[in-house]
Amino acid sequence: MKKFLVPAFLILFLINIFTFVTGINLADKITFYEKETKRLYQENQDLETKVFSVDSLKYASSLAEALKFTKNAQPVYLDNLKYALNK
Amino acid sequence: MRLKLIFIAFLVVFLLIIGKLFYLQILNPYTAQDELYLKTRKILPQRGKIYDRLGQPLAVNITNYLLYFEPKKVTDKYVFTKKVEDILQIEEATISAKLDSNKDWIAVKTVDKDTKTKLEATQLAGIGFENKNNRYYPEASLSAHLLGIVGKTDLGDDVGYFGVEGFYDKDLAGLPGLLKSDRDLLDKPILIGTQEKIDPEDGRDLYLTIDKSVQKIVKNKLLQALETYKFKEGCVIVANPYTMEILALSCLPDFDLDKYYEFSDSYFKNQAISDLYEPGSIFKPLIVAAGIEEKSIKPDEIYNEEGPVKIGEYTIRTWNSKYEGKISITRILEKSSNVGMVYIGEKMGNQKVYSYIKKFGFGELTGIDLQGEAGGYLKNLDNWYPIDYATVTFGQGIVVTPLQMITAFSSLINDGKLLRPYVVLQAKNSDQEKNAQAQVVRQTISPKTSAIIRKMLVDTVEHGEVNWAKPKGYKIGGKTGTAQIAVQGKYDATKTNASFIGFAPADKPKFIALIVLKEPQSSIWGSETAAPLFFDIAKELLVYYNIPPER
Repeated sequence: MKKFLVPAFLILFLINIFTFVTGINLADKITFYEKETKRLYQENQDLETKVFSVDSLKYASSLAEALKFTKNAQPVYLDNLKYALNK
Repeated sequence: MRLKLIFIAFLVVFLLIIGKLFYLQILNPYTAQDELYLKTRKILPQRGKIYDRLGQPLAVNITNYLLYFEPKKVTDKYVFTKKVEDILQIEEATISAKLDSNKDWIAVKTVDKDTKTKLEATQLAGIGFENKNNRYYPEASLSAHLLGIVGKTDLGDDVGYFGVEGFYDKDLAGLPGLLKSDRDLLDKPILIGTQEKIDPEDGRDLYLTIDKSVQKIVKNKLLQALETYKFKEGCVIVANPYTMEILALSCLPDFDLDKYYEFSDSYFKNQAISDLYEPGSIFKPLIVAAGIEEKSIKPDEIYNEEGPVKIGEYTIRTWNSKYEGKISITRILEKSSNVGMVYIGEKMGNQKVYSYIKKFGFGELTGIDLQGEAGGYLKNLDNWYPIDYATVTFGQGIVVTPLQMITAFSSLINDGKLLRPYVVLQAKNSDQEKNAQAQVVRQTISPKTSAIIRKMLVDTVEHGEVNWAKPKGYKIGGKTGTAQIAVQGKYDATKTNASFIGFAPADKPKFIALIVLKEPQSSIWGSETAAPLFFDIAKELLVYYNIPPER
């Protein structure tokens, strides 16, 4: 009886400890990934905002103004090239 | 013996634990104990983003941070104030005033991520942040009236007001998710407990019919026109006449989307869909088209413009009191003859004039997908007097919204189809996509009449009373309008709504644009204010759409 009980007790004790520690580890990992997901989402949003900001017409206009680009480019229509077709 | 005792002691303890668990989980599971570890949290969905027709963002989401102080945790007020002052650029006195030791918590201001990082780096005690979801507008207030704003309900939830945000609030808002999770004191999940998660359904992203480049052109030109013509209010609508997709819509004065709370309610009203005004002469082509459709008149028919016309006690004159004698119907449009229009109205008959006004959609909503549209006002047939039938032929005595006007006018040039205008091209989320399509409300005139009226409108621009700086080589159709504004029941000759509606290229229009300027100061005439603005915009649009000259 004694021979059986002591190892059984020890095994149960170790399993209990192992389950407890594994549970804590898993909980830590879940917490870590929760935070990391949130951080990555936030970082992604910040980067997206920066891309949108530099890709905007507002930003382009402010740059053009700073560089004093004020005149619009005039188009040249190839099917109406007067100087080439004039005889 | 000792080992047996220890074993029995452990057994008793385990039995007690099992007994307690049996009591908590089986016998009495619904007690306050549940709430001790179980955390239920609403997971907020991401509000749908708004893009233009080419997928360029107009409204997206951003996280800002509400900075707050906890004065009781601040150890050295002097150091605290100095460090915070440098980062926030707020005066020392303001910060000191916030540090009221009697308060546990005090909100300071909303800051961006960079400022938050700088403040966190100071490692000062007594500083905290609360996440706040806000809208970010990469193009600032380029499309303020169109987009609308996102405010808060009494419960603190986001809600859209006005424009697209208001009309599509349910689509944009999405559905919140739920997280039910047993957590320990350190907020770590207890794995043997409840762990349930229902994912939120993010709001649908909207792709508008708006082209932000066209919108930018229109807004820039409208702002320049404000300086030149000094009008009180002004609106420009650009649309595709064959689908009634709105390509640009801009009204002034508008508001700053980021600081909308600093503006009064009147600024949020989208004048293009909510303001009623008397259209004046831009209404004339509608009546002429109706007359041709009903075969009451022919374009080359001759009318004798002898002089003023008397309707009961009222006298109707031309705008410049000049009368040309025998003129064609086309010339009536070219010189914008009021007396000529009265003649057309009389030839059609009152019933037909009224029925065509209804047919063109006046007095009813256009059905545009923007919040805040007004339907206009059309009197019952019983309340129309002879003078009303006369004045309505030249666009006075009737009130319309700019959107109704451009919608009705589009049917004149698109083979007679009255279409429902719309601003959202596509609404989509991860698993669903809804596409909008042109929707014909009714046929107003035949394609043949449409072709005739298009040509007449080109002649109106070519041989009109004013020689505008038109884009060279293009055939453009259009009509000016100058409507006096009624003040306390009488028309004030010094106050007008100046307008111009035009389209290009005339044979197969790529765009139609309506300009409405309220009370311009430089000149009261549409031909000297709204028309030049139209041609300025048209020049840019012809280049933008890569339309080569026709001649």
